[in-house]
Amino acid sequence: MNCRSFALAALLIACAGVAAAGDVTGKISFSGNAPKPARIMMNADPVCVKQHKTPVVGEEVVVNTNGTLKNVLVYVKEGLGSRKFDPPAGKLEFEQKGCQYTPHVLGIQVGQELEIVNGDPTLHNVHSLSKENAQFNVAQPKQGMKLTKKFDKPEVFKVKCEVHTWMGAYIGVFGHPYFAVTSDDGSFKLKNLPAGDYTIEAWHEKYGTQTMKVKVAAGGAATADFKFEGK
Amino acid sequence: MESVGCLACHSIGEQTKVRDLRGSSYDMAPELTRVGSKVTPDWMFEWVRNPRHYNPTTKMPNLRLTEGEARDVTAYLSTMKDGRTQVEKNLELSSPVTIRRGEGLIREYGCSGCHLIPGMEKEGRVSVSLSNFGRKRVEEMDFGDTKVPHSWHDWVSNKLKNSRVFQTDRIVQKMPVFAFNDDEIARIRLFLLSQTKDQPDTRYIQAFDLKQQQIETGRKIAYQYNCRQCHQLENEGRYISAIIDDPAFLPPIITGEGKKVQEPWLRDFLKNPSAAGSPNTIRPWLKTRMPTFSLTDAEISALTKYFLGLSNQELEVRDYRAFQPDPVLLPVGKSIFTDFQCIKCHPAGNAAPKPGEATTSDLAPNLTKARDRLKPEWIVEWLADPNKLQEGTRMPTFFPDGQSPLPEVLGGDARKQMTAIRDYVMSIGQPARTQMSAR
Ligand SMILES: [Cu+2]
Repeated sequence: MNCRSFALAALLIACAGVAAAGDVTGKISFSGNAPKPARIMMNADPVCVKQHKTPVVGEEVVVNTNGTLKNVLVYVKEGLGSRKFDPPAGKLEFEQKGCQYTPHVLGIQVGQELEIVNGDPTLHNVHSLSKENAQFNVAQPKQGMKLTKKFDKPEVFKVKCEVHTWMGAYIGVFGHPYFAVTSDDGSFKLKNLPAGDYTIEAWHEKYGTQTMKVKVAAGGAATADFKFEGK
Repeated sequence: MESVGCLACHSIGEQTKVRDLRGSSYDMAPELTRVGSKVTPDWMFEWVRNPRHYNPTTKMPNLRLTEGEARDVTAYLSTMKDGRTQVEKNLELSSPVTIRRGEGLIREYGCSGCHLIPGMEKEGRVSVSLSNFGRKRVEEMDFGDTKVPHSWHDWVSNKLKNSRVFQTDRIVQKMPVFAFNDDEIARIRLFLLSQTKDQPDTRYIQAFDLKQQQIETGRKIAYQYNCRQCHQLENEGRYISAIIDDPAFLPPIITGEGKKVQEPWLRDFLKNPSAAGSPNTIRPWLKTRMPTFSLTDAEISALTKYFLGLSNQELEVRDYRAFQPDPVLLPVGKSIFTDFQCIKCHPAGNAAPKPGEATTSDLAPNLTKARDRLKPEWIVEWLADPNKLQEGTRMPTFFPDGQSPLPEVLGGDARKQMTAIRDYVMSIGQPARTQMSAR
């Protein structure tokens, strides 16, 4: 809709309201007991062992020093209606380095390019366990090999390496750009959401999902803090 | 019990996941919840070691349990008892009157219709013929005192739901109550509707040529031995997946077996599947095992033709020992094999991995057996797109979109590189079969 084509002031205000956008910010706090990080034994592949000077631990549950949870995928679940979003032009990178995936949890938009890189001088394969998108299972026997993938349908799925069983990561595909992954401070920001009512979901690989309803007012901002609890 | 695969066919208590996935109201094998109250440990031990020894026509295959395994299984099953104590009943077993009454009841209920009872072998049919049942008129059907609508479909549906439903004070009904589910009732009803003496229009009669007849014969055997309980075959089956969490431990999809394995290997394997230490063992560390069905040569031949037919191959047994690797491609194949690090997953020996090294699900088949097992042309097809042939396989493709990651080898020709790998794989290990045995 072209706002300038309306002469009436009242309609102008309404149009401005739709266009005005706000950020949804929040943090993911964690309480209770987190499982002790499991030590990863890479003995099956000496090349992997050689790349680490210190013991490697699993990333299933990472609690930050400020008591927040890392690797939580936060996104708009409902509220965008039938809006369509073009994928951004830039590629995202997903690397196999030191026989681990970086990042461990990744969000990407439908149609956006993902570059999967083998940074190790050993054989890795990337096996997607996707349900909505076509599965793929591609070997990268040489260091520096690259593979570019795009996804058509929104879903969160696991990716694993069949050579190194400890290697696992999650990819969340979304039909819009309003998603984020928490890092070392456990906070997130969903930028420039059009004014409206939304359901925000936070997903964690071990603790599952939580949802929250937020209202983004015209030009305003909203907060969505989640609490995950260990058993 | 869980590791060798008993639960694929037998259910215990509330554990009915396989049955539910199969969508049937019954299991292929008896439920074992109270088997300890039914049979003695001695009998059970003999039975699980070799079911055919006791009953030559039983459908239960031989799991090749070792004596120790059989003892463990027996010990476990012996604990499966119900709490009821056997009440001593005052049975007049020697009274001629009781014996005669019992015999009368057995005849009346037609037990000999299904059971083999000495002296009643020639009893004949115990119930009505169904050969023209599809044409049975509503006026000939007895609806008893029910309010069931007077139609063929309603009568049949209600009869199958509860076989005694039309019983009245005067008319006793003896058909057993089968507890079919709705889906089964619909299938049986359709079958019964087809039971007529009418000559179908020739357009609806499928004429099988010899090849189709042979495929059909094998297909029937595959149904009879219930291959689908564990394997996926022609897009059906793999019901065992309800109780196996790790897809790497699932029995393979065998629809394309005719294209994949050499006929002599298939024959040996069906005769003696994965016997410990036998040359047929592909994944020696796996506990879940393909049972021995004691198939006859005729059955094996029919199954072989069935698999060949499913893969559109000639229905003939070929000899693969004449295969010669291309001397130019062979060393290239070996170097690609090294570059691709195939050995990381495909072990060369039979040993299970050492603790901390890798878990058993991480191992791929031992390639020293490939030359006597795999069809050379299949290996190339497999390398091109493993997931297309075995959906969900852990084997990755090294040639995504038909492109080779090694542009400098053989001019970057992916097909040639696959052929080179194939030639190398076919040269690993020593041939196990030096002579084609007569069949
Ligand atoms: Cu890997």
